[in-house]
Formats: sequence, C-alpha cells, structure tokens
Amino acid sequence: MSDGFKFEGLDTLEKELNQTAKEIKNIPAQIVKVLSTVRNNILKTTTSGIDLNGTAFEKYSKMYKTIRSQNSRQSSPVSLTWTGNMLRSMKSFGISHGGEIRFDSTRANDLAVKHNEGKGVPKREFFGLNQKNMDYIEKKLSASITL
Amino acid sequence: MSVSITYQLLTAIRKAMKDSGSFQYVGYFPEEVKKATGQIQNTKTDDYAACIIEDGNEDMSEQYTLNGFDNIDYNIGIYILMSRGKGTIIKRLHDYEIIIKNIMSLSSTYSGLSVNLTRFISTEKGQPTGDIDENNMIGYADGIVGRKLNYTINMQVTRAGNC
Repeated sequence: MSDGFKFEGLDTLEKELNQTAKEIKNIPAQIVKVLSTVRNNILKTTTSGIDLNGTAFEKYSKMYKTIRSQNSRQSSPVSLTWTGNMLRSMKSFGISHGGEIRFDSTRANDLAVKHNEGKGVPKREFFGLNQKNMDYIEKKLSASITL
Repeated sequence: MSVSITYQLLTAIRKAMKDSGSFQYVGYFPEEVKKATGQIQNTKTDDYAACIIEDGNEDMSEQYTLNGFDNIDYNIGIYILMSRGKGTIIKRLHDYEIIIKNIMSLSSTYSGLSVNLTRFISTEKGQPTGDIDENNMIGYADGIVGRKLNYTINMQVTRAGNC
C-alpha cells in the first residue's frame, strides 16, 4: 500500500483533448477543400498562358499556329488546350491523411508530363505547387484549426 | 504526376526530473491524440505514472503515483507535408502544448496542493520568449504570438492500492 494523488477535473482535460482529436480528424477534408481551390488556380493560370513560375508560356511554333487556326483554335494565349480533356482531367482527390491533385486518365497524365517536362515539346511547366500556392495552403489550413 | 498534401502528428511527452531540473523525453508517438493520451495513461516506468488504479468511479478521476518529477510536458505538433513532385516540404502547422507542473513528490506536504495545467496554443515558428502580456498572449522570437490558457485541476490525496 502506498499513497497516491487523485486528480479531479481530468474530464476537463479529456474534453479539451477530444476536441483536439475531432479537429485533427477534420484536417483531411480541409486539405481536399483547399486543394480543390489550388487546382482551380492552376487551371486559371494555365489557360491564361502563364506557367507555374508566373512567366508566359513559350509561344506556339508557326506551323502549329497554322494547324490551330485551320481547326478554329486560338493560338494566343498559349493555353495548352485543344479539346480541353487534359486540363479537365486534372482533379483533386482525398487520400490517406490528406489529398492530392492528379490527372484521372493515363492519356491526360502522359500528355501533361510531356508539357511539364518538355519531352518532345517545348517545356511549359504548368503543374505543381508554386510558392504562392504553398503559402495559400499553409494559411488556409492553419486558419481551419482552432485548437 | 501528382502533388499531394498530407498531415502528420508528432506528439512528445517529456518529464522534468525534480532533482536534475532537466527534461527527459519519454517518447514520441506519431499517432492520433487519443492514442497519445492513452500512452500517457499506460506508460509503465518506475518513476512515471507507474501506478494507475481503478477507483470504481464513473467520473474521469484517475489515480496516479507520481514520484521524482515535477513537470509533464505534453506536445502535439501538427505538420503538413507538401509533396510537389520535386521533393517534399514540411511545415509545422500548429503546436499544442500542455504543461502539467508543480506536481509534488510523495514526500511533500499534501494539503492544499493543486496541479496547474498550462495550455499553449500557437502557430508560432520560433521559440517562446516567455513574455506574457496582460491578455495572456505569449511573445515568440519571430514576433508571432500564441494564446495561453491556464486552468487548474484540483488534486486530492487519497490512499491508493498496491503499486
């Protein structure tokens, strides 16, 4: 037999911690919501002819401009759009402990990689997280937790 | 090709030894809060919450024997990992800290004891400067402030079972 301390009021602490747990469980949903906005930002920037670093995309070649013109497609701004399928397939998804933005078709993904990395075409890096987006994500997620 | 945002919790439980005055890490538990809380309650060491006794009450009172240390410092850090295809950036999003202090050893006088729970809430990136203004705002080295809440849990001395 020995002496011990009895704590009263641990229910207060438990309540606090349970609230913390509840808020933490909401983080993945918040992340997906924030990524949906980031996805829209990428889409808007790309179709405006601006790359991930805020620089105008390299212009289309003369030959490609002609082809686009013959098919009633605009050549300026460079929007990486023909049918729009590639950019439309870029979506935000929930994953374990968070979320991601990716392309929901292999064809669109392959095409996006070509543009982003300049494989066989001029490099037009449109996909990724730039500093502006990362700052936005940090600000929004931080504000969504009221611990 | 994708970018992703995930979060991770890092909880740390530290105890401050009464004699040395130094902190000693009990462990890191990258688990959810309730599980981490369970770790506090279930840690079995000679000098840390070594005895947890069911007192039969349905309230949340717990009984502990607490020997040889005077602070428990319980941290929950929330980190976000931003994977953007070219490496991953880790940001500390939130830090939540509970300090249980002034825990008296068994040999101390029992009357009038209380446990002060200090709850830090911050989004700070630097270390606290220790400055607390009249509104309980804590100053941090980088100028960002956190909020500090104090509350007290009453402590009652009882005779405990076999430890």
